Amino acid sequence: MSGKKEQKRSVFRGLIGSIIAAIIYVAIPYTLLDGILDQIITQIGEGFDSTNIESLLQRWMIAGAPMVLLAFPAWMYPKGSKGRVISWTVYAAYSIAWLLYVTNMGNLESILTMDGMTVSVTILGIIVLSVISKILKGIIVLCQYHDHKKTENGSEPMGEQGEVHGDIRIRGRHN
Amino acid sequence: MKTATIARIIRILVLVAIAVVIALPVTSVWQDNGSDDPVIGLATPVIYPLEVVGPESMADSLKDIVANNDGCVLCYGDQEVKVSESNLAAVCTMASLYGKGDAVLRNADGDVILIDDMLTYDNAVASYMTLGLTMPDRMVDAIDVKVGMNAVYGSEGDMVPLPFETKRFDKGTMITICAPYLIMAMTSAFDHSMGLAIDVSYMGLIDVSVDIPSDEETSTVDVMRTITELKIKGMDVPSGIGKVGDQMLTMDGYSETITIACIGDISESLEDSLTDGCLTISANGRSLTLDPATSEAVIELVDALEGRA
Repeated sequence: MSGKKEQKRSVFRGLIGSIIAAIIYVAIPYTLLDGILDQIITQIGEGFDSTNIESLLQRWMIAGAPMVLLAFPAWMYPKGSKGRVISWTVYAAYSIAWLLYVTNMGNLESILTMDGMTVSVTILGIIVLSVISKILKGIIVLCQYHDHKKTENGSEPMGEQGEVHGDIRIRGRHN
Repeated sequence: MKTATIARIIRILVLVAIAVVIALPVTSVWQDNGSDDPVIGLATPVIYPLEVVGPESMADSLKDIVANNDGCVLCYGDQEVKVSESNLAAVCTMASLYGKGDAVLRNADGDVILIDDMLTYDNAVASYMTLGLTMPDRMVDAIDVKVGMNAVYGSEGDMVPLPFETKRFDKGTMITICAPYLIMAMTSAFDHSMGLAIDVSYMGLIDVSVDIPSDEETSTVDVMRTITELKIKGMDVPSGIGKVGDQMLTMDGYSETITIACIGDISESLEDSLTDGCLTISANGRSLTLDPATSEAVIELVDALEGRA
C-alpha cells in the first residue's frame, strides 16, 4: 500500500466501520430480542424467565448505538494520523465501558431462570482478556502514529525500503 | 522494521498464546471420544454410600443390573472387582467391609450403569441426594457443590448454613451427598427445603453457577408440652422406631410424622447424650453417627423448634 493512500481520510471506510458496528451492536441484539428469544421461550415453555436476558440485550443495543457513530471516525481516519489515534482511543474506551455495562461488570447474576433453577455467569476473565486485546491494538495505533511521524520528519525506520522509496516517489510527484 | 509491525507481531503472538492456553485443553478433550464426555445433571449415575446401605441392600439392588450386563466391574476405593451373579454377594460384602469412600458399578465399556431410578434407599436414617458431575479434567478447574437449605424459591444467597456437605472438587467427579433424614425433616419445619448450588469454573475466565432450590413441600412442627414431644409433620417417612441420642424417635409413615419425645427439654437431653461430641441417630436397625459440627447443628435446630413452638 502506498503512503499516499494512508494519508487520506476515507468516508467509505468510515461507513464500512459504522455498518460493522451497527451489525454487532444493534442488529444482532435486535434480532435476538425480537425473534430468536421469542422462539426459545415458545419452545421451552412457561418455566423460562427471560427478563434478565431481555434486559441484557436491551442494554447491549441501547448502549451500543453510540458505537455506530464512534466507529465512523475510528475507521475513517488513515493509519498513523492523529485523528485515528484520538478517535480509536475514544472508540476503544467506550467499547470497554460498553462491555462492563452490558455484562454488569462481568457478573451476569441470574441470567437464566427456569423452573426455579437459576444460572449465573461470571465472565471477568473474558473482560480482562478483551481489555488486554484492546490495549495491544491501542499500542499498534500509537506505533503507527509514531512511524508516520518519523516518516514525515524524514528519519525512516530501517528495513522498510519499499515503502520508503514509495513515499519519496509520491512526494516527488506532488512537487 | 516499523514499530507498528513489531507491535502487530507482538499482539498476534500474545493473542495466539492466550488462545492456545485457553482453547487447547478443551479441544483436546473434545477430540478424545472416550468416556470422558462432560456430564452434568441430577438424573445421574449413583455412587453407593457403602457404610450406610450395607451389603445385603447393595446385593439386592445390583442383582438385576448385573444379570443383564456382562463384564460389570464394581469399583470402590482403589479396588476393582469383576462382578457376576455368582460372586455378587461376596463382592458386595467386600465393598461394604471396605467401608470407606463410595462404590460405582461400571459395565464392560467402562460406563457407569447404575442410575438413580434402579436403586431403593433405606431412608430411615439418612437421605441421599445423588449428583453426577463428570467433567473432563481439562475442561474445568474445579467444581463447587454447595448443599444447603433454601428458603422456598430462594437463591444461593438465602441458603441457611447447615450441616450438609459442601465440597470443592479439584476436577470433575461424581458424588453422593448423604444428609441425615431427621435434619432434613427438622429444617423443613423452618419452611426451608433442600437446595443445591453447583459452581463450575474454567481458568478464571468463566464461572457458571447453577442454583437449584428445591420446592418440596415443607413440614410443620408441633411441640406438646406435657411430655416434651417434638412432632415434625408432613414428611414422607417409613414407619419405625429408633433413637436420637438417648431419646425416643418414632416415625409414622401413615400420618407422615416424626416424633422425638423425652421428659424435659429435648435439646438439653440431646446435649447430655452426646458421645465425644457426636450424636447418634438410629432407626429401623440402621444408625448414623453425626460428626460434632452436625450434632451441634441438630441440637440447635431442636432448640430453635422448641422455642418456636
